[in-house]
Amino acid sequence: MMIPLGFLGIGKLPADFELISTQLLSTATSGVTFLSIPQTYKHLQVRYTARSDYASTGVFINFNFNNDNNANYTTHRLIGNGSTVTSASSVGANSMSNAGHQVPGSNSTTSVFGSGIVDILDYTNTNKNKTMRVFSGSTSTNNVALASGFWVSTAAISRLDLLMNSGNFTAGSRVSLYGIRG
Amino acid sequence: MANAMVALASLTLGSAQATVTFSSIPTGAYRDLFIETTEYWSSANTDVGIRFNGTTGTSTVYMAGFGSSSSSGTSSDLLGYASATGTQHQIHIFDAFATDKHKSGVYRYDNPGNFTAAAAFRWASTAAITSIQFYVGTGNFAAGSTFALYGVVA
Repeated sequence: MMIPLGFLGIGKLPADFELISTQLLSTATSGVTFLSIPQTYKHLQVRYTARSDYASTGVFINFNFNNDNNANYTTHRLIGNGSTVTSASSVGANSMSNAGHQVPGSNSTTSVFGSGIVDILDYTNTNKNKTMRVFSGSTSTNNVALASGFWVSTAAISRLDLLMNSGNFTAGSRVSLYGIRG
Repeated sequence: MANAMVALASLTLGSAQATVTFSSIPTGAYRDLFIETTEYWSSANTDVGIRFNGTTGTSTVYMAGFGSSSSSGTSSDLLGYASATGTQHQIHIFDAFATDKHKSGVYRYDNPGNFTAAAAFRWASTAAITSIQFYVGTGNFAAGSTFALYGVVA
């Protein structure tokens, strides 16, 4: 079965795309955590719509696996900002940092959230280091981004943390975790 | 556990038409929407547009690769440029029915004869989405074009 690539690829959608958990925030929260992720799927997908309360127009979201906060992460991103296309990377970082675009901060237009899709492939496979890809954007921050991430670990992923690089997730932010069977 | 992505509507055009509309979109059971299209054209190159609830006011920011060059820009109420060789869109709309936020999302669009592109969009309204219309700037969507709408549980 073709991997949905966050449904970016052309082909059939999976028959088994299941919601594992959703966190819809009613108050500002520094991070969103998914614990005890079931090990019964082939891939994971995170879908988020989020905003930061930090006094800025844009804030990155960082990702960590299994509470690993060591220098085991690398990300690359391609960003369109409404006038140019640029690329950047973060190598040997303590999280999958700056993965994707910046979600709106408190200096952005009210009621505007940034959104993204994160695919984490083969997350239970203990023969592979873990990879993810991100497709995200917001017209408020005038960013659309494609990103890839790499975690130097063959451990199966059982925990996922999303943390605002600055400030907190605002109320109304939502992060959903899905399992994809394969 | 039930599938979290459910097909809501699917259309393959039997004849050319200028617009395609998903209306009376069910709310309550889903938070996000996903749309996948394959579009063909009965005339020369044109723009594809989108309207939510029959209104304008959708802004987009895109980046595209054209052969050995790339570009980024913004537009209003447009999903992107299309040509006679056909275009595909995959559109993710987040919190489509929430009344506490503008409607936003990301989409890919590809015109295999010309470019590949990714974009983000925002409809500056806190209204729940009840209809989605695709339209062309010139000519019509040709017979054989397909449009499919999915609800995503969250």
